[in-house]
Amino acid sequence: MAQVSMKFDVPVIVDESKCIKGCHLCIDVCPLDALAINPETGKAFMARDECWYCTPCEVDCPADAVIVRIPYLLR
Amino acid sequence: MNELDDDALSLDEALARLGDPDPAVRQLAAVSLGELCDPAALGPLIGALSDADPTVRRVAVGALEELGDPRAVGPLVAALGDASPAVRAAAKTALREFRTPESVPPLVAGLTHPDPEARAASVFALRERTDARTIEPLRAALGDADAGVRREVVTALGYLRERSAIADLTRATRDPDASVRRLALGALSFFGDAALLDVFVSALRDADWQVRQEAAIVLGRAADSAAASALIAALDDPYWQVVKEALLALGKIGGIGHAPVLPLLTHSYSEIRKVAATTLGTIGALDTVDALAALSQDEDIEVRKAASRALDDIALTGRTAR
Repeated sequence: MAQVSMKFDVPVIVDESKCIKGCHLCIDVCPLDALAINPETGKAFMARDECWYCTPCEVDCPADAVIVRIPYLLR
Repeated sequence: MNELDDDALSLDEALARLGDPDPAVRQLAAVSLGELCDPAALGPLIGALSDADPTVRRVAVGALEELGDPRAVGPLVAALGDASPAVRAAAKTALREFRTPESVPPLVAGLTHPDPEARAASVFALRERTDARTIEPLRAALGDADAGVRREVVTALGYLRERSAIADLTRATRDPDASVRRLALGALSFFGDAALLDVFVSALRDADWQVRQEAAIVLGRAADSAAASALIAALDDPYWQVVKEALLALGKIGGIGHAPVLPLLTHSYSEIRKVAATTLGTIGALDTVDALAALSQDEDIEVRKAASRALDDIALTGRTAR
């Protein structure tokens, strides 16, 4: 998998101000293991630019911190 | 098993941390209780709905939804009036998931919540429950002071296909709020009751164009020839959206003759020319072939296509007749 160099331009956006430190529900539900915990902040982020746009990370986030940006043609 | 599960909290640890002074600790504790889904967490999670931190309250709502215990419905209804929009939205979503009979009384109680948004959310949650106990309170809620609540009630009664509410929904077609009147027409149309035709015809003269548009749509759904003259009159409506739906309804009714529709083939709006052509094809107006053929020069390709299809329909009707 390709490594993400720009965290702000990926399909899954995690709002760090909402993300609960220590929670890893989004990481658990991702079928591609694309999300990870940022060791610097303890918050989740998209570590690998692979996404099926299946959205459990967004739906299951208990703090509404995750947004999956689904491409227009897939909506 | 995820490597992160090593630091998962036990029930006792999570319950203890739910009382921690640090909101971040309480947030994570609430997340853990949602994951553990242990019935023993019901009381503490209900208590967390009163936490000072909105994120803790938001997470507690999600955790209670996961638990699915109907005893949480009352507190969740109260959370519909939470100061945080995220908590209110989560409570509204969560309440739809409680489908047991025990959840009905607290939701019905929510119809008298002081916050109109909470009352509307309670109606929304009751919409999918075919429980006799919901009907009378919903009918009473049609008299709610808030138009948003009345909109939800009208939608719910239509969704439930509750025939005992037909008279109430008919009254709602005269509601002061146009969107309530419009939704009431849509709800009534699902009953398929021919006696309601006059209600729909009257609505074609409503002051609001969207109500008139909905009236034309439901009259098309009813496809009753008794409404033809009212729909023909609606072809003179100043709003093209109403004219379009009236044309479509007349096409479904059929047998009206082409005279009222023919002038609309030269309407200034191409959408009307297109639908007029389609309607003439649907009613099989043989005398309009020349006028439809003239549309082959129309500037709008959709009009040209509709005219071509209409001519095909008329030819097919002619062959069928022979």
